[in-house]
Amino acid sequence: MRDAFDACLKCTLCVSQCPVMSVNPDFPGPKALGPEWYRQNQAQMTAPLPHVDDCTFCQICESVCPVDVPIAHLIAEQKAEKKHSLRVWLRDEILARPQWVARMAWLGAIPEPMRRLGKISPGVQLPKPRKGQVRTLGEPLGADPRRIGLFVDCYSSGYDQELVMRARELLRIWGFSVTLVPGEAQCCGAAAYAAGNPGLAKSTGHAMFRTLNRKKSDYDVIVTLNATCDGTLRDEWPEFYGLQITVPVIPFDEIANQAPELFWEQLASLPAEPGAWITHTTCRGKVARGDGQLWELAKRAGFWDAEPSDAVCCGAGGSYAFKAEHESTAEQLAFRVREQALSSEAKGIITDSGTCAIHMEQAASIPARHPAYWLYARYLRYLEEGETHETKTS
Amino acid sequence: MSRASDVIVIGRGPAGLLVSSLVVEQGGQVDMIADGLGTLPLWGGQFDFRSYDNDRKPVADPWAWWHRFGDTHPGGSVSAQMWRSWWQHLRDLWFTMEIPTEKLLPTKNRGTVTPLGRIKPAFLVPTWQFTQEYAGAITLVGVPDLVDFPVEAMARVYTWTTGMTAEIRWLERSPSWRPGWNGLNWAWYLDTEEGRRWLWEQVKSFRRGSAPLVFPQILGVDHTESLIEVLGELWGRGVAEIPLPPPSVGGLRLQRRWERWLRRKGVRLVQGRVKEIGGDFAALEGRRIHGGHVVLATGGVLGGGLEVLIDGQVRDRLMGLSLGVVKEPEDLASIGYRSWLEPTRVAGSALAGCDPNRHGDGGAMMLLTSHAVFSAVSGQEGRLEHAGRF
Repeated sequence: MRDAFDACLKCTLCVSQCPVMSVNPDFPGPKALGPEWYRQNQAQMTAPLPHVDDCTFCQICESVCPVDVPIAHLIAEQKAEKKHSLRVWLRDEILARPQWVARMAWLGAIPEPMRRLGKISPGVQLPKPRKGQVRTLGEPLGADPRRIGLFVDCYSSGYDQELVMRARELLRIWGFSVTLVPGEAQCCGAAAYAAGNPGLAKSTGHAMFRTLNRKKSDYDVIVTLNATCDGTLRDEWPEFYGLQITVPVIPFDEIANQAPELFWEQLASLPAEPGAWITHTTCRGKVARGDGQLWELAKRAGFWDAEPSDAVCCGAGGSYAFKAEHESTAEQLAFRVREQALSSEAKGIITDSGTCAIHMEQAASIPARHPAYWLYARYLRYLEEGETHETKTS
Repeated sequence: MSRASDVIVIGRGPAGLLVSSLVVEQGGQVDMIADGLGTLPLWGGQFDFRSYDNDRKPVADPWAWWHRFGDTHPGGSVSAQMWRSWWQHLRDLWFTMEIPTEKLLPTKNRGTVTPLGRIKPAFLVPTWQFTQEYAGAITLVGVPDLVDFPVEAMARVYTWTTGMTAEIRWLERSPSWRPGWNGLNWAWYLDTEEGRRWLWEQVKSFRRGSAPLVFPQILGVDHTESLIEVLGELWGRGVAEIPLPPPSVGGLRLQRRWERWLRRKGVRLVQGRVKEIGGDFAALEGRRIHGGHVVLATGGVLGGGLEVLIDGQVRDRLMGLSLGVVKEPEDLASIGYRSWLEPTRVAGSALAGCDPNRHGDGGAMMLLTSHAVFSAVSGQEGRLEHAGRF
């Protein structure tokens, strides 16, 4: 990380792409908060700048930097120096450990007084466990020798077991053998880093790494259901945590594109999914792999009127939107998704993160779910209706 | 990724965007790979044909300029008809992306104004940028504490160099203004309903004038045209902007609209650093992307695809190719991937012998190289025809 921390050219590409700057007039931006502050801080102890906490840690600034300055990580170090009130500190300590929150998901909604006391955004929808039934999709359509470790992130572990089961069922019929890892609610460390606690991030990441290592004889590849965890395991761990995972880590949408042709032919035999759809690759997904893959997957699956989201970042930022002081910024960042959904009369949003999904769902008032959710639903429809359509076609 | 694209374009600057656009317009599938971002948000967004001669004197007629070179220069071997079709295509392409330009291509260079009040030639520019055929009186809008737009000095220089008046109208500080705001901060603010309403009131309060109203480039990012239209009605004359130093709002508008259009055409914007390329693949860390052709568009201002070694050798780090040796400044003209007469798969503004920063011909060279690449990849036998997309 230290290799390029002082390499800033002041080119301002990071400034031009920062989503927070586009909606928050107080935010000094990545150049001022990252390399410029860090340089001054090395020369003399400089106090953290106001609004440093407004950074969502989307890392778009780092991804566009031509000289690889770890801008968001420098900002995280600055966040770490900021002093907070006791209740904000306590709230942030909890939210930096989403594995704790996930284990408490069964408790249900947070009572209003506790929400106020904890400075949780009053208007933001908090996650609720999704408990839909998942049925088998039948015999495998092919055989793939790779054994998949399906990475169950803390959010999915606590709040979206339905998604995990849907993804597992899809992987099974695509011919993979699937093991769920890490097997208990644990965090990769991303939440703590984003909140400005690099030390906690590293210890959390190392604990997860040890768990994954214990089970490494069970899988050849790790498939992720959340773009942030995906980028953290593959790209952040070696660079910032000192961890090197030895198997490939790939997002679900990429493995889905490798599903047997028969699967896609069966989906293609169905009529197109009616209405418009929005594919939103989250900011961390863009940083980790790029943009366009979800859109391609949606088209291939029969969501013909899918259009890519115009929003760079939806503002969810893991637990960012849950913090009262960020509510306005998070809301304004999601506004672009809302505008697009309204103008296209979209039926739903396909996105690669659970927390982004609930944030966009609230903003746009349409369902927002992971591609595995929608693919499963589409294939289920094929099983229920497919034979009829095939008969008609023939 | 399981499916191969028709063309892999490495680089996300203007040349990469244009090559990708040419391919998708013909129904091809493109993967654009970039380790960062292209340079569009670093410059104002004008595409130059040829702005200055070798003595740094402004060129009035770029069409005639290129014609006189004949076969001694890449640009000279292109017929006026071909130039016209390329420029017209770019103009039409922008139109579909909602980047507004004048309906007719310029017959001559027009004059824009720099933030220091000097006249500068410009060829194809979006309509939000201030240009004029002949220097006339202008009314400049001063913005408090916007250090990149020293409006009083600018007005003096403009009058001194053109002999025309340059009046000034000052904006107040908006209630949302924060110390240190640059042009982009202002532009994001003026994209909001609050910002637009505030600006309307400001312009309504201006003492009337008869000259065009010229702002620094701050008039929004995504809603510029509607704002300019209302301001034009309020002022009663034309309203336009002058580009500022980076972060450049004009270039950002182009980048956002161009990439939005490409994404809606199915172009995948792959993030990552290319480690190796072959005839039909590009390898990144941990993954390999396949395509019918590979195009390099990496030579931008910050792309740095090339390195000059201490002994004068110029190397392409990506391909491991030696591109020539530079001992004397004139050797710069002789280095390159291959002769410009041959089909090339390298697109960018810095064609051998050209100096876009000095001559103002980057737009023309980008057009020339991008169309040459497109001809090469679409005209060759192989996967494109096999894919049936061209």
